[in-house]
Amino acid sequence: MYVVIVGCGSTGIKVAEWLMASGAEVTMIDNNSEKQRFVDDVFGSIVVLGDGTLVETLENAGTQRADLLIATLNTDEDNMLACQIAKHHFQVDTTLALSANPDKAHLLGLLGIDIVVNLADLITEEIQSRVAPMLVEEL
Amino acid sequence: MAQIGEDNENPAIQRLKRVAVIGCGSYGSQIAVDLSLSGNIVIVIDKDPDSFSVLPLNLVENSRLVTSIGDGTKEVSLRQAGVQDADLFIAATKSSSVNLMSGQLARHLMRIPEVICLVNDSALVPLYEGLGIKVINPDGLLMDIIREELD
Repeated sequence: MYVVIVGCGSTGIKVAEWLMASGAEVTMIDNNSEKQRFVDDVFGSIVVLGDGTLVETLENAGTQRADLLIATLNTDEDNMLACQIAKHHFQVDTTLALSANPDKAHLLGLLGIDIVVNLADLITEEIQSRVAPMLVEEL
Repeated sequence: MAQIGEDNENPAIQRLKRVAVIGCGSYGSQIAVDLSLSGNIVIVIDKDPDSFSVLPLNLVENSRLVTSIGDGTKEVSLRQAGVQDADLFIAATKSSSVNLMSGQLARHLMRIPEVICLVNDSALVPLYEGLGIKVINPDGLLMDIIREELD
């Protein structure tokens, strides 16, 4: 299993750590050299420095042989672009994009991204399931 | 919970539940809007008045979504916002430590029956669940989805 993670934010790093512990091979992409150094110090050289929404950077990260690409950049637009390049240019089997905006999450799904994750939605669902009997479901 | 049971006998007069959300960032604002749209009265507290600009105006104008400027780790801010009457308290700022301090203040000093904190370290979940607080780890929810995909 080879996974490319675009973005070395706290979520990207957590997911990378967990995937490596589960036996996956992971490469990360970030355009910030300080973050690159930080992550490389902790995990060994796994970060490719560059813009993860460019074909060239994704190629340097070996996206052509990836089974899964996870886009954790700050904007839904950047995550869309990284996933679409992975899917259509490099034929990656599964693409996952984080989405911060509920309206755009729907659009990302329509644009062929396999898994769109809005963390706030997941949190709300989890809240509803854990305190369900208390909350008004429908007015 | 007894009075809630009584309310439930007649769903037509079921009391609206009051929910307090600390932090109006990307998580807090969406949680507040979702819970408000599903029929609860939601109070959102944030230190930064500009953070409220992302909330839909119609909900704010109907007072279904009430905003209050304040520090979620200070009891005076929470009382000012009317949090003491809340049925559910959700600490959803970017900082796990702020969420845990705010959540414990709400649970143990203000006796709010249900308290949920967002915490980005799964190792802390058992510790704080033991202290009477429900803990949600957002990154853990993402990993559950990836795990399902890989299986």
